[in-house]
Amino acid sequence: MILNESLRLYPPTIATIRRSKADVELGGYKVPSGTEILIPILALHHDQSIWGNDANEFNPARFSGGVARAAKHHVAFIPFGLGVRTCIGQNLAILQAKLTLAILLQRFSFRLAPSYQHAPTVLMLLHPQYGAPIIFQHLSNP
Amino acid sequence: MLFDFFRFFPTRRNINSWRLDKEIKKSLMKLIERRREKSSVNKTHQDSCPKDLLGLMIQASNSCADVTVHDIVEECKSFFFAGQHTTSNLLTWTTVLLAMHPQWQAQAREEVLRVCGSRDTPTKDDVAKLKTVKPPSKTCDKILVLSLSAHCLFPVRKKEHQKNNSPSLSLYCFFFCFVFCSCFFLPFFILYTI
Repeated sequence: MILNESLRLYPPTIATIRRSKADVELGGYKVPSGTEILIPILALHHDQSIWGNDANEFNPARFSGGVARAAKHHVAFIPFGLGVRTCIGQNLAILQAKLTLAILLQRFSFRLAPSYQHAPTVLMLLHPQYGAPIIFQHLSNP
Repeated sequence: MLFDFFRFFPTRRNINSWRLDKEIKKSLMKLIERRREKSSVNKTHQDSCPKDLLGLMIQASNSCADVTVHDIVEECKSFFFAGQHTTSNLLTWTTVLLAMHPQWQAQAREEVLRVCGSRDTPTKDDVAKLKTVKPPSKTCDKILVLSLSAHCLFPVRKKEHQKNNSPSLSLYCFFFCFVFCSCFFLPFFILYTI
């Protein structure tokens, strides 16, 4: 849930592009073949009409009923894309992240350093502009 | 695009990125060559070679002339980049968020200690049980099917870290991608990474 919520608030890839292979009608719009459509993942994940008024807040509990039930739309959460071209490394990434986070939590307690400045910025991926200074403290010797 | 022309000028930035590009290519070629030799020597003992994407690509290049070493190098580059910085990015933001919200950090730690204990390295079964973190009152029935064992994965990650201490491939990869493609090719790269 925490990883999902983190992926929702700060998806590493903020947008993706798809090109229509044929003339198609999408939600009332006629899309001619060859049109490129940009899917703004970041904006979608922060849309208050989909996620409710607390869309900008960190609330992992919203995923307690499963990913599909977290938002008003069942595919509003697409940090790995969707369909045939969905991210091939999705399972590996989640496994790695879970494992690393479990080891981190098991051994350290951490808090933000006073010098941390919250400034997400796009450098290909979504990065903290001034880095992420965090103070780690080993749990065995507090 | 006008800015594109700057890519061909031998500015300091460009020279640096060309050098990095060459170095990445060279080390990947070496990697592929080494694997090729290994698989040709062990033709009778196929098991000794790891079965992975690189192996499959080399196999394909052996049977089909269309797949060149250059293609394999390019594939490797996109996989290294797409696999490394997206996940480390996710971990960065998760750590920041948990540092911002100590109550969730405490709840997550409580779950980890309950499931994995306080000393042992978490195993694949433990990780599957982690809903990181689910309130104890509600139990979740959906369990991620995990295909890799934690024991396999952990040494790999360790090695990665060791490698990272020297200016390593991944660092070069990032630098190269960043400098070379800058912001102009952002949309293409987003496509690449997904």
